[in-house]
Amino acid sequence: MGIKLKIEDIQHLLNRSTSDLSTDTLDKLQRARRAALQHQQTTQPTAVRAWLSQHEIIGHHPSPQHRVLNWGLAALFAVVLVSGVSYWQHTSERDHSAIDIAILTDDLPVHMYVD
Amino acid sequence: MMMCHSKLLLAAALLAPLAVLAAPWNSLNADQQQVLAPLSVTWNTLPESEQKSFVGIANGYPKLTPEKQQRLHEQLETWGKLTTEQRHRAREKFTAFSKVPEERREAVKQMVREQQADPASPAK
Amino acid sequence: MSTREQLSDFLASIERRAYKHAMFSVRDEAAALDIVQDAMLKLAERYGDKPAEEFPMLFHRILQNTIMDHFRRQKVRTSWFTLFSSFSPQHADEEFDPLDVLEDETSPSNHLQPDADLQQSQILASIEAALLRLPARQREAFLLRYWDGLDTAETASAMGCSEGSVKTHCSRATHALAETLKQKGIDLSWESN
Repeated sequence: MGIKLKIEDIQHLLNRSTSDLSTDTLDKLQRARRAALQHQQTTQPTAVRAWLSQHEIIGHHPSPQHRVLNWGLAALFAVVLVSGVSYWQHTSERDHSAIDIAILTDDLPVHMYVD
Repeated sequence: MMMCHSKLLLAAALLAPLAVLAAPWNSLNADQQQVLAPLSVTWNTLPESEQKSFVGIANGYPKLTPEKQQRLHEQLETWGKLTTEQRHRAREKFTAFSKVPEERREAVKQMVREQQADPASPAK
Repeated sequence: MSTREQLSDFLASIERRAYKHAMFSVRDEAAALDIVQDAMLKLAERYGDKPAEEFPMLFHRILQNTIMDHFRRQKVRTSWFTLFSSFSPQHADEEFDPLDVLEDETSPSNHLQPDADLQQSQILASIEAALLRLPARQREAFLLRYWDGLDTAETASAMGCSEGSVKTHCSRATHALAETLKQKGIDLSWESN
């Protein structure tokens, strides 16, 4: 055939191939996208900032001590509100020492198991 | 001033909820400290559940053969430097790998041994 | 632009490509959809507040990990491919990657839908077949660099390997593709960089 392709052509063809997907598939992908957006992580919830500024904890010219406290409390709320669930998961985790010892004494080096 | 400091302490304590329950390095006995020496610097930053696992490792150490003790000692520093998430995933991978049939596992180990012996050679 | 809009735009721009990425690896439409869904969710949940420039690299890393998880969960899977897909040693210099050794064992499935331009369809089919024949890591690196347009650093981050490994994988992939395509009368050329 003697067709000549450049790598950019591959990119172009693969892009075109995405429009070959069935409407059913495209539909499902769109729904997956919407579902994911519902769970989007945002940094500090706005209600927290409102509470903090109301109680004059965050303001325009915080002193050094206040600034540390600001971030401390802000992070506190962020941690509590956003990561509350994972905290409890962590503390309820079992003791992994048996498997850890197995990994550490195994023939294969530890880094083999690391992503 | 005092109120400010106590608020800070409260914030700090609540900031790292896991650290509130954590055991400081000094609460470990001398044997445990010796085994876990590579972790001494970062010990206080580890979550309580992780510390529990490491203490378990230290407690299991005396029961190991000298070769295994040596191996553990070599690898502990690497292990300690991983993030909690990395350790978690490593445990998953190790568990998955241990379910693989013996010959396959042995073949992987052989491949790794060969590669470590001669890193420059291309993979077959 | 709010982060929500940025994330929405990003996901919209990548959802089809992500599906194809997953299909190349798992060859199963239902599984591929699940994987993409899962990856989008994880990106939104864990990194939804990150700067938008980081989304491509983060998403691809999550996608690859999710694909790996899929293989691990499969019950009857004792093939070399799955076994080695769990391990990627981090060697500083030479890039021994067990995945590199393996060619895909299953026969390529045809993603192709009927297309008005027959020759283009045929070329596409040849390219996809050639891609499916590549070892997984080579294909990953190639697609991330040359389809998704990630740079070497981002690709390395997405794949969890060194930049040197990425370059090696890409180089091998390109040569292998060229070889396979030559047999079908297609001459692939590129600039080495």
